[in-house]
Amino acid sequence: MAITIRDTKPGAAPIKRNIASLVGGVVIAVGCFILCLLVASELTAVTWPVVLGAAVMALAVGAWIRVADL
Amino acid sequence: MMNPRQAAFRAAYRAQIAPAYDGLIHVALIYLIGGATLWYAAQHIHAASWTEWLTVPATILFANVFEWFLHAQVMHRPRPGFMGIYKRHTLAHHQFFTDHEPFHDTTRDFRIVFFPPYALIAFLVMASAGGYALSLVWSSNAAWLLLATAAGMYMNYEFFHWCCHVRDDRVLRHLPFINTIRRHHIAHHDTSIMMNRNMNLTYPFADWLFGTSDLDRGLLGHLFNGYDTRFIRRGLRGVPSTASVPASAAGD
Repeated sequence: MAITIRDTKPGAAPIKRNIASLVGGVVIAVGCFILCLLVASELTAVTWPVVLGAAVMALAVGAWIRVADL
Repeated sequence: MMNPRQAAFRAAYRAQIAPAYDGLIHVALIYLIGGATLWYAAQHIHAASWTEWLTVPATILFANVFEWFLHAQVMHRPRPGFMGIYKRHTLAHHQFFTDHEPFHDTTRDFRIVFFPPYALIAFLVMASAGGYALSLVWSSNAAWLLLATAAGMYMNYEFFHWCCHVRDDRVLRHLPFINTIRRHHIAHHDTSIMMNRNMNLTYPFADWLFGTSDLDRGLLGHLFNGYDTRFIRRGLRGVPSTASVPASAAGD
């Protein structure tokens, strides 16, 4: 199966996530960061706050992919 | 009607979905990324000639054949390096959804309906590479049209596929193309034909072209077949008849 078996019993080992969600999380974070900057460049000047905002958004999306084990 | 094996698989699969997963966020990410790419590409198209606009139908046809190829040769074949895709599709998606019970119940089931968002990134990278090559040999307008169309086709694919697995078809059954692909794809979920029939997920053009459709009719008949079961090829073991297609997908 594509996703990880979870054991929710008390004292069970920590949840192990699929490696695909780790690779996918990194890929989606990089992709979102680049896309955010490209879209921002069409709408406004790309300043440091814009870059920082894009980075935060990209990291949040990448982290969600990982914790959601998508 | 769902058999015990499918019910057990669904229960096991759902129990393994991470608590942090949310189907609506999953879908929103796909459409935000795809929509932003399409919009960004469109901003760079200026006074395109009619020959450059021909990139759009050419890309649609290429995407259709690519979708057919990927489905038939990667998602349904255990290829080294692509086993994850095979397991996720043939061994999971096709056990979760059968031709007898092809519908999802909650938005958490979106996890097994939609591709992971990074698949879209991979397709966009491929389309960008093709667009870059096109800009070198011909035209930047054509390149941006290619990228915009590729992003649009990906979103088209995901939307149509979702339409195939929605239970309520009071509206969908009347929509051209969507009603066609809905019958086409639900028939594909018959395990006896899933490995080699009905591989298109948007418009059954490549299935008609390569003779892998379960229908025996021409191109226009394929595209506008709707729920009609009169043209199903004889001798395809297990192909749903009018009586065995789920009631909501079998027409009136």
